[in-house]
Amino acid sequence: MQLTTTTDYAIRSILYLAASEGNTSTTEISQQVSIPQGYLHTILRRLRAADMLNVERGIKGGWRLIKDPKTITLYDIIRIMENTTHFHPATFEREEAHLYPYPAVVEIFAGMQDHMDKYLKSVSIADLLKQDKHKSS
Amino acid sequence: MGIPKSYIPHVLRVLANAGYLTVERGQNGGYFLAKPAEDISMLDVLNVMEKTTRLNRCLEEDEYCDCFVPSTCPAHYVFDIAQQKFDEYFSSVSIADLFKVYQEQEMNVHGHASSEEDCRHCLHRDQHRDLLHHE
Repeated sequence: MQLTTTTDYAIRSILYLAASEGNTSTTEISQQVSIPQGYLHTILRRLRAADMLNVERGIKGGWRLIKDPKTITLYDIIRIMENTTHFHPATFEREEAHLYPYPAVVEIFAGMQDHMDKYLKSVSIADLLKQDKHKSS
Repeated sequence: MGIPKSYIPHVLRVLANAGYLTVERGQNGGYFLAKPAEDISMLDVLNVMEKTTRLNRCLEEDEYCDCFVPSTCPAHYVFDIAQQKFDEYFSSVSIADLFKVYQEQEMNVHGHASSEEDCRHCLHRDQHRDLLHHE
């Protein structure tokens, strides 16, 4: 039910990269958003495999966000990082909910699932950065 | 109910320890709800059975985060709202509400047929057959 630390780290990394210009080194991200460097590599590689980031080698190399922060939602990041976003196992196959002894229970969880997915899809990385600026100003 | 038999005592014990069930021994004994079903919400059950219902680590009581101060973290604010929605939603559904829906569904399945044959055109015939065989 709780997001993993890995997902939390992925959100931080993307927030940091979205606010940075050019390429950013793993060391910098690691220090600025408190993520152990070894762990960070794994997370960044997963985000690259999902076409969120790009990496360049060399002196001026580093990580860069390749998607517009306005188009990346919290839902997107959570979907990439978590094995499942479902609260209840039966909501995977909603059309078979009638086979569950209490279909109403599945419906209740499915209702929450819909609310939550919709909410997380409505919050973009750009929204979060805007909010951050408001708070620090 | 679709719950493995060996698993039931464990689940019931946890619910009894949390004060939602009472156990009576003897011939007519068994497990009983210790509170009216109207007073038990889905959130109560989730809180008892799940390790945590907080959506992110920073929403736990100690508000632990190794990066930001939760009060200034932009993501914390979003998760906090999500958590409020989650809590409101599940505390608004009681066991009595779920049972009412269940009873209505039972009526639909059982109300119009008394045997498997009677129910052969029914959309719920598999469920109906299971129920008949279960009795």
